[in-house]
Amino acid sequence: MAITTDKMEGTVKKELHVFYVLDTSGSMSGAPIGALNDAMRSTVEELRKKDGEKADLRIAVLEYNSANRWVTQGNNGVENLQDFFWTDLQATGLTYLGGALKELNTSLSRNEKMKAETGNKVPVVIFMSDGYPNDDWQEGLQVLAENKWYRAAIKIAFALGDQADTEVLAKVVGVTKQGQIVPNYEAVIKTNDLQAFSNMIQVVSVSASLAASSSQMLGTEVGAETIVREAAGEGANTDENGVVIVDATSAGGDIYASDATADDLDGFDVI
Amino acid sequence: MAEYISYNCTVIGQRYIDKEKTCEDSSISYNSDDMHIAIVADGHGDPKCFRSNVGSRIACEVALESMKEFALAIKEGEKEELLFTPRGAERLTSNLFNAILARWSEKVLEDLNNNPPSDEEYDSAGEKNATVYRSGKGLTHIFGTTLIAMLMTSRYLLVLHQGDGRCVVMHENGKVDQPVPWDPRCEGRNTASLCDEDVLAHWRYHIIDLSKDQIVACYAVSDGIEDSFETMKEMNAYLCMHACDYVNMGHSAYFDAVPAHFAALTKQGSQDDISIGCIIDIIAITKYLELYSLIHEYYVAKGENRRANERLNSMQRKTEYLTDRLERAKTAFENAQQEQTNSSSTLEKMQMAVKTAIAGLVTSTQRKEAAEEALVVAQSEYDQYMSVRNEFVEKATSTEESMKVLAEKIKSLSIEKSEIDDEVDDGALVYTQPGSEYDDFGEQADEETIVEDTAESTTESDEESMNNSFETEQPTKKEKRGLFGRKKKRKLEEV
Repeated sequence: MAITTDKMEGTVKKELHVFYVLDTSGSMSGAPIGALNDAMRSTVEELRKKDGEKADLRIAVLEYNSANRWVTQGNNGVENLQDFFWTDLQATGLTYLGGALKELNTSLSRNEKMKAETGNKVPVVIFMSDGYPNDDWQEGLQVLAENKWYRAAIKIAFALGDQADTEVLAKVVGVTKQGQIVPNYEAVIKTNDLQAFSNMIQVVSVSASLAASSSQMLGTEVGAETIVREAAGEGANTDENGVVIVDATSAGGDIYASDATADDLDGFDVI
Repeated sequence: MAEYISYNCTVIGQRYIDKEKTCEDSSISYNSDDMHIAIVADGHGDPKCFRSNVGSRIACEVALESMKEFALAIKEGEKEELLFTPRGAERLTSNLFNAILARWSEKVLEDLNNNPPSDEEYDSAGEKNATVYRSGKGLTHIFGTTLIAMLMTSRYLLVLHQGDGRCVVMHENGKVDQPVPWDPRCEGRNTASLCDEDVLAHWRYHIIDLSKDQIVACYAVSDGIEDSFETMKEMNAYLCMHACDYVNMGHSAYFDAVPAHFAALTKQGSQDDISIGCIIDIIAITKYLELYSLIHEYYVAKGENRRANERLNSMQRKTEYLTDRLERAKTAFENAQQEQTNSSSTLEKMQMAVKTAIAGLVTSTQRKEAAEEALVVAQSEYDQYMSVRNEFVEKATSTEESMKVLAEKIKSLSIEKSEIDDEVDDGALVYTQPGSEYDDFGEQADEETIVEDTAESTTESDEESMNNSFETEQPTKKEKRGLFGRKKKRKLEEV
């Protein structure tokens, strides 16, 4: 036994878990579900470019409609990015968000990776919905708000179309580190434009994963709202609550480039 | 008899090398007859802390000076025993930490005054933070750093800790632990800092009475090492290996090797700066070399086993997908193969048929050629023979004409009819007029009929009769009737 430079036995990069909680209810039928599938396929490719830079990325996809289902399997729904491949989702059924939130809590609780002792990265959780929940979503949220990993996670939501309930989504992503539910409208992106949605979910995913894999001083962390604001770009419109509105003409649609590096995403590269 | 020595090492993180940035970690160590000190400080990589490399260096320097003074002061004041009482420990360590913090604040402000941040530095913190800094508020944040400081005397081990990073202690009873209480706020991407406003409420310490718990080694490491391992036990085992290597290799050889080793570690692991500070009893540690070696090997194997199983789990879905695709491809292949077999069979049959047909063609061609040859021969023989025959036909015809003329002449010369009849009975005249004398029923035709038959007598039947006449004996009269009757009948059918 002696220290060497050629074989670092036992050493690893930290894992960063990116969760997608996606609404695949019947209202997503047609172009929206197609756009979601395309966007996720592109997003995964973008994430692959960042895999291993600061952390080893893991991906988990939970779809919900009248039921909820982990698209990914493996370690309690979490797969290595190298093993992940996208299979097109189908739109059907109702919008049972509450069930999905409970399932997310279960995965975050039982995932051994999330209990790592050596400074694991906080997860990133990205929601997407185009409607209003048909079940008791508040009960599910109350359960999830007790989860310490969800509390610490970077949480961002996409409201797709006019029927999406931004208030519900703002509460879902508004769980604080102390477990309080304080609507965070600034972490919600609303859009009617499917191309803008595709662009935004890519840049937000990459930005959030970079931010989550960086250590920062207490109280000064880059939050979800900062990531959303940066991703939407200068002068992005907001509604009366602060929800960022993105459309085909938004400046944010131009800020993302597929060859963006960590340094291009200014403000996130903070280790 | 313990023989302690302290050392330290800091290596820039791979991430900072890639981005051409400075190392933000610092470390320092000190050895004297009275004490051994090892200190590690991890400057924050946050853009808001753009002088954290200075902050970490100052933290190491002031902590070293403060600890030296502290150790000497409590020894001279005979207050070391107070460290082993809760209140005494709290009071004494608070004084020490306050002194460190005060000196750190003083020194960083001094640096700030002597070297005010440039606009570029301010801007690097982001617009919002730059505005705050330019207003003169929160400027110590630009020096943000963690601190782990270890002081070992013959009487005690004292550890002070603020922020992340780890302190690992190897006890003489073989136990390896992290005795300093953890700050639960240092979770995920967050870390506490010397520059925190509430730092005095959150710093931690731990004191070990060496008369009760002898220490073999203690390590202070920045999170650049911690984040290269998945579990604390794996990291502890890794530090056990370092303790063994330090003793086995000796100080010089160890320090020749360790910078490159840490460079490889940060590249493969955390990518972060790596700092290590150590106080080690080079005599006592020898008893544990085999144990630590086994511990290290065990946790390496355990980690690899865990990662392999996790990867296998991760591969589950894709494995199922690929298996399914492979099965479908196999099925498609088998179907195609069957089709190919069928087509091949059909082709073979057709080929057999073609072969048979070709063989038939060859045979028939041969037959045709043989037949053609036979035809040529037959034709030739026929032609030759017909040529001869024609000569006789011509001769017969000409003689018949001659006979007719002669007969007419004889008739005209009034030769007796009976003489002629005698000749007829002898058959001489019949042979020259075949088939003209009798009808189908063997009865004698009238004269007109005989004449007409005679006029049409240049027929094949006649020729045959002629031919026969060369091969057979002359028939009787009755035979002539039957023969000529059949000839006559055939003649009628042809007509």
